[in-house]
Amino acid sequence: MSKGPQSEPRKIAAVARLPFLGNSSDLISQFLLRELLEAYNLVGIGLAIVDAQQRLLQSNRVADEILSRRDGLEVTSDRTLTTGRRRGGAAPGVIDQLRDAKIYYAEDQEQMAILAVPRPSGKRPLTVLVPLANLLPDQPHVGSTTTLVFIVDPELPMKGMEGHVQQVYRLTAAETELATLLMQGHTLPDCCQRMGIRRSTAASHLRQLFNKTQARTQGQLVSVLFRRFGLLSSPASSTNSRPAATPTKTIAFPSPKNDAEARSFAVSFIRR
Amino acid sequence: MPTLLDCKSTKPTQWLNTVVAAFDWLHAGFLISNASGELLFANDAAEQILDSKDGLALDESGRVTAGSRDSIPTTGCVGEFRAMLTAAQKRNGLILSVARPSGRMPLTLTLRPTHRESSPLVQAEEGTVFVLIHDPERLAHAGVAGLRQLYGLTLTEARLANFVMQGKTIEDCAGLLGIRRSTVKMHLQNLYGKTGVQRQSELVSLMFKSFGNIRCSHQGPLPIDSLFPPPDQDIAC
Repeated sequence: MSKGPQSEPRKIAAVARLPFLGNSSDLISQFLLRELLEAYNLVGIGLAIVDAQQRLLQSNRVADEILSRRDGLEVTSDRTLTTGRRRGGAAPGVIDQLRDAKIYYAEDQEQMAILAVPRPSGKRPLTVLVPLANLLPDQPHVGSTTTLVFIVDPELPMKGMEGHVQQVYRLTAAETELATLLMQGHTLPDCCQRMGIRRSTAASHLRQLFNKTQARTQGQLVSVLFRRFGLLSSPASSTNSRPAATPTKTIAFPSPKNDAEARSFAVSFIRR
Repeated sequence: MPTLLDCKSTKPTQWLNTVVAAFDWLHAGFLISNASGELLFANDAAEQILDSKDGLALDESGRVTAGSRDSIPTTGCVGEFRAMLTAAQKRNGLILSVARPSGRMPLTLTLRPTHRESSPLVQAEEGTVFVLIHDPERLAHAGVAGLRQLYGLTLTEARLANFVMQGKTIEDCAGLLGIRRSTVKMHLQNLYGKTGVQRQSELVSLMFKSFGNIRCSHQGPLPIDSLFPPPDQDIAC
């Protein structure tokens, strides 16, 4: 699979023909950007785009939620994406930290650099992933001033998963609850306690789950469910459930065609 | 009043490249189609899924087709995908399974109308829909380097963790790694210790939750056939 700048024009060729985008690269990127952020919302991955100064340019809802908790990662007043406050010194930017860690695999640049960010709350560390190519500014084909930062929270509550699992495998309510608890990483005794059922009852639910998913072990069951659904949340609910305390959306409109157009886009972004 | 950050330093074309490239880090397939099923945009994963012509495919006119083994080729399949799009637009979002001719595990499709308000000039009949495709047989793979960094795993432990994530049993792992069952169990115990879990299912859960649906490298899909051989079945559609 070859990646490179030449693959992008081909990919957007059909989108660019959409009449409402008017073949303007600003409108096309806004259109795609919004769908990009939403796609990552749906699979429960935080996505932040930062500029060369590590300032946050754009983020999706999952990233906003993680950042607003200020538990491991946060945004400073000058909008730098950092790993939290340090006593007696400026908080280091996330990109600097990844660069300092020197986790480069020169032979394979089409890879992610990964940083585990510990959390003051004691929860499992956040996983921060940045494409390696973004960390090497001197690479000839990069030349981009923006960097993608993916943020994964292993303790993200899995909302809206039950419906999918139940529907697709035609599970009973109890089987669905057990399946989602197992997906969340609970052990079987733990699940019994949470559901208020006996071990033997749980065992019979589990047998049914194995039958319906064709899994043979609990590990396989969890693997199958994640492979089929990932961390999918409900496609319909994700538009209206926006938490109140999230950082402000920021977006630049490099060259709108006219004032009215600029206003209408600015308004729609702020509303979101 | 929200502050709009000045990013004039970023050229629009560069910004567009960044956005398009960002789709390719998604493990799931992502595509945008218009209401008549014409493909407008697809990320790498979606292109590969379409190319494999197993459940979803493209017809000669660039329209997405979806169909199970029972569907009539071409026209019937196009109709099926369009019906999905219509339903998704009506219900403002839809999740469904698409059976695959090869008999592999079905694809999970999440359909959503794209945001209308982002495109004020759009006419009602020109609605576009985005489709997220989960292919259970495209391997969940946390990558070896990432796991070693995150949890300080050895090479064997990291490979083992990936196999466990894919739902392999201890016997499978022993065969794949070329080591004995007892050795697999020993590595597994070390893995549990380093990641702080107690059960195999817990480890699977942690792997998926720590790496989400994100690709850790652009190496492309692993040889699927060796790990998930398709059942012997005739291919239709």
